[in-house]
Amino acid sequence: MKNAIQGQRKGPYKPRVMPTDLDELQWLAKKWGADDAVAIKTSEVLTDPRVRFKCMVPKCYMSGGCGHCPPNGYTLEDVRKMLDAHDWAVFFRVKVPAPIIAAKGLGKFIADGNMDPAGNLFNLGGHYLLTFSIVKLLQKTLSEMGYVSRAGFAAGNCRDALCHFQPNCMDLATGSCRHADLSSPSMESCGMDAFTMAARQGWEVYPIGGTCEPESVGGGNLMGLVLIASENKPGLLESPTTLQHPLPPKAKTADNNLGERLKQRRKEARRSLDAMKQSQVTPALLLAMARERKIWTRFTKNLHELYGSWGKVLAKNHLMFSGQPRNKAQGC
Amino acid sequence: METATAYPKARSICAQKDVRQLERDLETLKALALEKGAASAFVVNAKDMPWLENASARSGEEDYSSAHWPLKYPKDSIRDAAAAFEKAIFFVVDTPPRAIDPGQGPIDDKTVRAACKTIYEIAAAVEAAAFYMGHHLTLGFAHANCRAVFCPQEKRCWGEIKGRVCLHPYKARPSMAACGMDSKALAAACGIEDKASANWAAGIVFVD
Repeated sequence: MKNAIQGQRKGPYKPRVMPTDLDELQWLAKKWGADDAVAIKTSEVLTDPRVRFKCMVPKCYMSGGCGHCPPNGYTLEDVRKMLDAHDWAVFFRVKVPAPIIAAKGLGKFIADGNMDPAGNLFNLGGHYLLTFSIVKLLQKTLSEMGYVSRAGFAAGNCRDALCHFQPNCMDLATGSCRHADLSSPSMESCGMDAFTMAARQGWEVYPIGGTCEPESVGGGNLMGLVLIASENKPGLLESPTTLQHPLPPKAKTADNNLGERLKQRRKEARRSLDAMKQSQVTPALLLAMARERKIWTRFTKNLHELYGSWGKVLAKNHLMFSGQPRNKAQGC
Repeated sequence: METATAYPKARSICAQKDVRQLERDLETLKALALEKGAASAFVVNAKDMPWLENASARSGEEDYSSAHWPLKYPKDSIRDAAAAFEKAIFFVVDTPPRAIDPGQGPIDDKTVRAACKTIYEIAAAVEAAAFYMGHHLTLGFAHANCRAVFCPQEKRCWGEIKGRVCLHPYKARPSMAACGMDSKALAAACGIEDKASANWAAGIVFVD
């Protein structure tokens, strides 16, 4: 299987989804960090009008604060159109150990936007980032294989994982996303009952909320889903898509001499450091990162595979850790 | 029957609904609602929910809107979500005699506010218990405007202000009336008489 993947992969669009390609995609998802991956028909994807309300009743701290979070995001009708426009999907999960995802008091740190001293929130973020990277890698591979994927879904809200140190969601503010190349809406924000879908695959899934403790759950799962269609699938190009608009590149100005640029960079660095300090990011988090080094290493390698160069990986990490302090008026 | 608070471990999600387990859970949740302060609690069929028209119309002259009243779900339908459930726990809490239903407006009477807060607390407790029992899509609704209950001293609802977040996430929630649910008709169906001297307020938790 590995030798087959190393061979020529680009090619013309395929008229239908090949079973061997589905096998390869499941294998790749696991290679990129998924603990389990299955190929399912899009008709097996469960949508339920109640799921989005779990974000709004009662109101989650991020509800409405991110472009993907309810009441924003896609209607159930749009999601069904996306599903109908595709044939198959790769459904995968990334397991999260109970001491991380159900850490006592973690909910309060999440809502406040601060890191907990033990580094559980930081490492939880690593698992989310891994899930986002697997979705994008699968979509990239599908394109290389000759298929189309107009929709990929990850887990959780992308703003916490990708724009943690930023004061706002750029997609809500401008219609363009800072991390369009990595961000995806979550399955749950699109009304998919990921829990029941996972249970039907035989995966053990526990309901994890703000008041549970590590001893009361077996572990957590972050689920992802990537849709697959052959190019000639009817209705494909007309269906809604989850692929987002990136921010336009910054225009170079005549006054942008070296001195000015350095001054600007120093200012941005200071703001980012202030934002991290405000979120209680400390060097001790590096120790926490070391405990989950497999996840962080896998995520970094995934980024390299996605972007093709270590320079771009560094640039992406720089962007993820950039930000500015929240002012009191902005709250969380 | 399990005691009301005997759920130390979260139950894993089932691939298919277990009807007998659901019946046992409903009895446990009903007992929990009573333990937390409900005067009475009932297991009701979600499809028997009576609905009002123009539910989000304001009852008072003052502009007292909040994140949960009127409802702002442009991409979702609360009726569709409620219709997807089979069973719910409907509970009532006594309010002081001759108390006026505040509707969407502010609550000046502290005892009435305390009674409404009890409904929010019961809804939160029953919903959380149902969630950890494996009914992961459970939804609870309370009584009166959450702003009147939790933020009476605030000049505006923070959840409505762009860039700010609700001061009481995970607690504030819509009321039955804001969603268009006719709690009086449902109470009558459960055998509660709506006498002028017998005041009560209601909440509901859709379980599964």
